[in-house]
Amino acid sequence: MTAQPMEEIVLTFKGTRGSTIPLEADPITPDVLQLKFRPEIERLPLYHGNEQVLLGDFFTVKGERSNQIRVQGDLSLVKNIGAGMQAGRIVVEGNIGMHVGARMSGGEIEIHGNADDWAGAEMTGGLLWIKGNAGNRAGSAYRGSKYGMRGGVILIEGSGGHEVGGYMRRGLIVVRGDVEDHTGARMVAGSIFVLGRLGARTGGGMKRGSIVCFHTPDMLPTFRLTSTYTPLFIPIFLRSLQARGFSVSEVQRARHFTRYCGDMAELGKGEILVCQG
Amino acid sequence: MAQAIRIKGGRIYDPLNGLDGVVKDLCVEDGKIVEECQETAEVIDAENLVVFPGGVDVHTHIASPAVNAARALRPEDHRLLCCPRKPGMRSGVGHTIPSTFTTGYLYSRLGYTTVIEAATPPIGTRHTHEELNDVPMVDKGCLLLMGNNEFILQYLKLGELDKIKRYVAWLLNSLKGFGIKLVNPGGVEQWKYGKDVEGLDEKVNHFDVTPRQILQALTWVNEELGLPHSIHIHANRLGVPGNYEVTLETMRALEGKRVHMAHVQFNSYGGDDYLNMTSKAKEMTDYINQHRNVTVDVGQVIFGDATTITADGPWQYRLHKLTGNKWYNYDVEVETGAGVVPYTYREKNNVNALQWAIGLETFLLIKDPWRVFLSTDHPNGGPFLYYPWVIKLLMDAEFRTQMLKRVHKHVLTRTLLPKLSREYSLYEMAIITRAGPARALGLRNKGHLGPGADADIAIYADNTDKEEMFDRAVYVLKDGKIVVRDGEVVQSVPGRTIFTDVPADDDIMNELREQFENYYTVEIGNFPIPLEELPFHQAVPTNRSA
Amino acid sequence: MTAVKELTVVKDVTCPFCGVTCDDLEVHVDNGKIVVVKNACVLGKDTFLHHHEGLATPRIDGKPASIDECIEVAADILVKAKYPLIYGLDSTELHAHRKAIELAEILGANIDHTSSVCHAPSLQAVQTVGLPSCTVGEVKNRADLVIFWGCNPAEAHPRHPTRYSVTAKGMFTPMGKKDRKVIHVDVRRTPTSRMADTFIQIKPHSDYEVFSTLTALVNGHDLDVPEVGGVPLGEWRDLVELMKGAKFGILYWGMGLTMTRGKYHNIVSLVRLIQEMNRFTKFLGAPLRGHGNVVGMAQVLTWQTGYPFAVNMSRGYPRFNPGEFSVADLLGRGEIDAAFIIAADAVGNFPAKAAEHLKSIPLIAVDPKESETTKVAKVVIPVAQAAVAAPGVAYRMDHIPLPMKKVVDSPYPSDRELLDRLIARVLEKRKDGQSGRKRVAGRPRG
Repeated sequence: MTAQPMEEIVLTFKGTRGSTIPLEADPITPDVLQLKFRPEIERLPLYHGNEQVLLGDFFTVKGERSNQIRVQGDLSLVKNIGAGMQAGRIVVEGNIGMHVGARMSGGEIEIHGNADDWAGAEMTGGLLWIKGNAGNRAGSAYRGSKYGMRGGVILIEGSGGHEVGGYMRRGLIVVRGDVEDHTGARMVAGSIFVLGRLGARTGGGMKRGSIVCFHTPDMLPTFRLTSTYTPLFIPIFLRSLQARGFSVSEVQRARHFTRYCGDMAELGKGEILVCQG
Repeated sequence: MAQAIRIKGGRIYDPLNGLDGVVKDLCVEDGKIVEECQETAEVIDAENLVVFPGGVDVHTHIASPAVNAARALRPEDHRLLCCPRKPGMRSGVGHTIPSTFTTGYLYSRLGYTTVIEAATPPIGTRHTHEELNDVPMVDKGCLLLMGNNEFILQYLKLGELDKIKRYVAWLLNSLKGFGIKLVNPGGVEQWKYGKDVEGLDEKVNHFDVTPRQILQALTWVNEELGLPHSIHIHANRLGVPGNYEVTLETMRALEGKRVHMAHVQFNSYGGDDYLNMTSKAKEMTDYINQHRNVTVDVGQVIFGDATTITADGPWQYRLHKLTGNKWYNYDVEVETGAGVVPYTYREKNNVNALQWAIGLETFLLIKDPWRVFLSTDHPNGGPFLYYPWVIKLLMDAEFRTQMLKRVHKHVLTRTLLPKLSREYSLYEMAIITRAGPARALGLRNKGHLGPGADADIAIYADNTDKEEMFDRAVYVLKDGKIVVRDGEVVQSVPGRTIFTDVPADDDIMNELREQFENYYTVEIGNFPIPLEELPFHQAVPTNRSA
Repeated sequence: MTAVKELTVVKDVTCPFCGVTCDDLEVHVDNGKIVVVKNACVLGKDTFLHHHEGLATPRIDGKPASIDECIEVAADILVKAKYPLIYGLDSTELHAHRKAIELAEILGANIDHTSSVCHAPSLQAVQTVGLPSCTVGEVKNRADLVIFWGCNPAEAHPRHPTRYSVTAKGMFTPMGKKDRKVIHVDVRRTPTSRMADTFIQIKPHSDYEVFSTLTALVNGHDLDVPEVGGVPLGEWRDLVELMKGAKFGILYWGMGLTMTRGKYHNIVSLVRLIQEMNRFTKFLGAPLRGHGNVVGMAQVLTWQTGYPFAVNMSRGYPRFNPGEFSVADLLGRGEIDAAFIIAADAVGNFPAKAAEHLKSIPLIAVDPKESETTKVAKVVIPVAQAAVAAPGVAYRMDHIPLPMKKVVDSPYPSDRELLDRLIARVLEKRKDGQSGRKRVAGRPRG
């Protein structure tokens, strides 16, 4: 038994042996693994359909007792990794299944691949960085919840799906690629930046908060053009993103913005800023 | 089946039989409490334990079309408490609106064995019974909503009190109801066109009758039919500052008659808006103390999440506008309305803190514990799961002092709570959670441990922390079967649906046929619920037949 | 089984076909055969008169088998499955619903029903913002403005207009149609438009924008757009005035809103409009629900599990997440490894991808009649049709439960009897086989 904590825990996915049933891997968070020895980690319960299995059945485990986790392989069918995490760091080398980083309150998750639906849903803190595409409802709410994301940062280098940042109350989401419909649906506060193109009904039902667009979206009739101005914070913010390694080509273009306010069907105190170059 | 149990050496609190912590054995046979124990009886060692009759909840909302609508409305609430399947037991979800099986298990763990669903619309009562069929562990009954029934309003307008009596009897008989419930009499009818009533003497749209007339007529009917429970009233203007006047007026209008005022905390507010709202618990309890015809349940507020579910449609709309929370409304043809709005009570919120304090004042200022009952108006003031917390507040003045330091400061200046040092005894606690409600409901076999009573028994481990003590029973017996052991349900039993055995009157059904066809949308032949639809049931006789 | 030998007349019969759930049918049975159906619409008549046509036969892999043999094979399939699906349950009664949920719980299965592919977006919208609604009798008694939006009751719910919403006469609407204004909004004219005083044609997929616009107008905002949804803003202003002027308004919607772009968002914006209208007058809304007793299944599932559809039991307790556990998504992603389809035709109604997956896995079909699903199922178990050959309770679209009668006999068990027998076999097989596998669903947990 080693007394020293190791640098990193590496979990290598063995695959589902042809099964298309998703694997629910809730214990894969730094909070659970950081105090555990390797044999304990291998014995952690995961759920494969209605069957309880062991983490060791599906992953080879290297390292122990660390809050730094590296997960390798095509994890498209693996759900709940990093869900509810409070601290530490997870690096995913490959695609990842649903609910990654959902309800997380701290720490960092970095995904070198695509994430499925509900990435960072209802998160309250921490950083979720998706190098590939995100599925639907990134940073949004689960059914019935009053609020989606309530804090933290989601960076998506690829595209986002439907309802990015729905019901958002606080925090920041940046999408470098395109997004689908209902971005910022019914949001009450917080900021969403979309550098690519947007689907329909951007900001539908928003009460407060900001959505910053670099392509002109189809504006809902319930938004009203109020002004054109030059917000200083946007280029500063984009440069700070660049400094962190999130490359943005729009920095030079981000000078003049038209400001729409809405949604008049609700409180109407939200804003959509559209870059005019 | 003939299971015999001797509960040995427990301290017995049985107020209906005057036992205040007397140590003696209790004998159970065939689901009943008996004088003598069989020699072969299984022994439960209750030495150092406290033995209570099973809990009786006089006012809760666990099964009805509106309760189920609330469940469907709130997936976010269910995610907070999941209850897995166990052998012989079903899975479910908990928190503010538990699923049916879980409702039964959670009540049972607390030591409750009888609960009354306080509001079902007649046309939805088949639904209510089907839900109650899936609530195990407890006996249960439901109160039929009648305070805004248009047939009753019409008869009242024509002065035909006797027809109201026959119609009410037909409703209770054909729907297997336990009693009569009034919710915001006249006001819910007004809500059908988006309005409410302000006071007892305001005319109700189209019907030319007043809330006062409705209250008096149905109270008269209740007594004429000799129903075991008194009339059960959710007064007008619930939740609105200044409403204590209409509540007092309601009680005065029914002076001398048996009357149960539901969740009276929500109707004891002074002031004229939420900023200057004050407690009128003193005025209310003064009246209650002087009038022995009145019983109340409190509707204590619990800090945290709640789901408000009530037939009081206009109030729910107001609450939606106040909170911006999602709002469900459901008006029911001929009969009533309903609304659902999620709500969170906060310690530092002026109104919520006052509501919390007014509930406690009501408990502490009513001198006769036989006329005040524990309720949170589940889940309106908060989930029944928190009854143990309320018990601690009532039994532990020091704990109240600690809480007073946490809640909004208005409680210190606008209520009497800081001055009240009364602490409930175990005996009094047995009254307000068992003996009192059973007596008010007219359930002779419930709420006590004398021979002949149903062997519904809750046994607790004494503990200076009363919240811990009452959080989980050590044993619960339902009809003489051990269903809870060490705070866990060990056996699921179905429980019975109890209803009042009101004599049928087929003539009124024929008289009603035409109006029924004109104003309802179902065939009158499909309206009554045959007894076969209630696989486990028990009829309670009226005072007339007894 | 003894067949009814002479002419009998059964009154107050409840029709199982759609969510209008008429309970005033009169059925004449001659020598065990239904010969006359009074009061029903053409769809209801068909249900009773042709109920004995196209009946399914018990079989395994296409070969005739006894019901017991079918149950045995079905139980084997289900006990072996790791991620089974129980689906359907619209054309049956609430005791069968109860039993199907119990089976799902024992198996640790996913359970979903027809709502999932029709009005699930309406249910999700209610979970988001709520819904001010009422029973159909309130509409009959009070409504002086009825709006049908993206639905076609004239063809899909033929007696809704006469019993409840258009010509129906009630307490404060003694003149029926003369006391009401009826508006139809849709992307094209249908027979429902002919019942309406006004038809407003909007562009496809513009409902969300229109509802938002109407809500903004209700809230007193003026908008700087000339038209919305292909209709001049002025006409929407007129509609808002009309709505505000009503004493009691009701908006009924259909799958024209739930299954088009935006889905539940369309209904959210609709509900917000209705809620805001209540600042001015009484205004309510309701989805036009039903095939069959789909509302009943949602009710029972809700009281037993807390959730109205898309429930997963694989961890031994109910979880809900449409998109993850909803039938079209589970099948579309190919996750399900065995399916038990009861009282609905899944293969015939699902998107191609979902139907293809169903054909590729062990499939059990329980249905009174042959369907696209029974054609491809490994095990086919015929049952007695609820409301015709088996009694029970059905829910109307407004959540009012009504008793269903048995009017003729069937040689086959009812859904609930069949499920009872299947559950018994599943529990038996759990006891003996299944060594070594840790079954979450059947295991006691703290």
